[in-house]
Amino acid sequence: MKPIRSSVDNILRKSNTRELALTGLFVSLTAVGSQISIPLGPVPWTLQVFFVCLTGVFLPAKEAFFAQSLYLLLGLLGFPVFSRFGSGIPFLFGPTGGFLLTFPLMAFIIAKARSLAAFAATCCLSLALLYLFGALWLSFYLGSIEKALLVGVLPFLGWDLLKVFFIIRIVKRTGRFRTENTEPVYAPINVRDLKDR
Amino acid sequence: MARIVVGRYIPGDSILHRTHPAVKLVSLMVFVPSIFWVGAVWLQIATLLFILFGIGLSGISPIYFFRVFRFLWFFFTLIWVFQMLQAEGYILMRIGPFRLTDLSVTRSIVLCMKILNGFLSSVIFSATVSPIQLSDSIESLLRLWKVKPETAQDFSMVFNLSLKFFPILFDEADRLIKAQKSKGASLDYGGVPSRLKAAQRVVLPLLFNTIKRADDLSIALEARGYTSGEKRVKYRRQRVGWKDWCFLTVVIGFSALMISFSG
Repeated sequence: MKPIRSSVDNILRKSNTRELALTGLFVSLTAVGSQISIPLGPVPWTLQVFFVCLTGVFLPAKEAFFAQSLYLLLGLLGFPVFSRFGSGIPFLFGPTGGFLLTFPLMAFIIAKARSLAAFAATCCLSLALLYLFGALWLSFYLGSIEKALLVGVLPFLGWDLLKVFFIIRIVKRTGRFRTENTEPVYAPINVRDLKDR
Repeated sequence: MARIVVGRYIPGDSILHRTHPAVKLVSLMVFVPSIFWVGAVWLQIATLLFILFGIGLSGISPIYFFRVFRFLWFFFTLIWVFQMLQAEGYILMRIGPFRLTDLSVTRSIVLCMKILNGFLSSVIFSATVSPIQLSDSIESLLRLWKVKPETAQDFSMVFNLSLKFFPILFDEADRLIKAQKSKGASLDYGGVPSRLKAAQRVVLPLLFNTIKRADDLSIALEARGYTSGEKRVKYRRQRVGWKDWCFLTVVIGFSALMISFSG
């Protein structure tokens, strides 16, 4: 089975059909992640941001940006892709819209990472951006930036450090950065690495 | 997936269903920003009446639209609470740190109306346009903007794939979560480390299966002759007729009227 598979891989690598498929699937994966919530911290944590980060890990920068923009577009057009099967204008332009609108940028920044350490750094940077834009957007509704920080950022900071740790751990497990290959070719994932030992 | 009610295509044969999807998309793109532009309460009420007229034309049962309030309550409360934290204008009522002023009441009502109107119009849109029509119309709009046809095609392919695979991946995630639950690793109880471990056991197989699926999908696409970057022709075509132009004129005319009234 393996030789056939690898020869098909070689053919596919020349075209970008694989990137196309992967982009589409990561859009739906982000949508799925928004529905899975883990009761941690003051507000149940959905896997939305987690999959936004993973989009950056597995797709080249342009495609990652495109995938997350498409995710927002789907929500804007009324498909139930946001948390609790929500969609539409209120999520994007309501008080919490700033957080959502940062996703394409986050995925783009993370896609620039070429090693696990760089990933950790870009991950923290993109989360900082998420909070910055989210709070700025919220301050438009709240009237002042201090109130926005108090309501939208401070209660979640401690928990989010935990989440960053979790994300880095998962990305390490996938073995994406294990090869020395720096070009954006998808590192083959070893099934053995994924098993819980 | 049965819980999803909003954002679904509802087949029908009304005037709104028969209108060219690209025309509907353009009118949505004009109409929604105009809703957010307009600031007066009575103009928002007029918009709501216009939207209700649209709901009547679409022939979809109004009960379907009532279900959208399930989402909207959350945003409405948020807006009211946030506005009450801002103390400007004449104070009507005082509850702890919250101050209800005349200014905050009007502002909250307008913001809630804006969100309601914007939301309802996008719900009408997604109920009358099937996903395939939608991706085709986005593709044709991208071509109008002088985007290369190959890129526009790839865009609509990715669009369709993501919509097709959302329910499939969701069911898979659901299965994985239930499997872990039956083994005793639940996301809902236990300390933080055990919860994170349970999450990891859901996320990793989901991610791995997704990437494998993308591989298979790309092979299937190639096997059926789909290569990105090649020109393709459409099997079905819908032309923009005079009724579509009328529809566009009515919607754009209404939006222009609203904006001119709000000055």
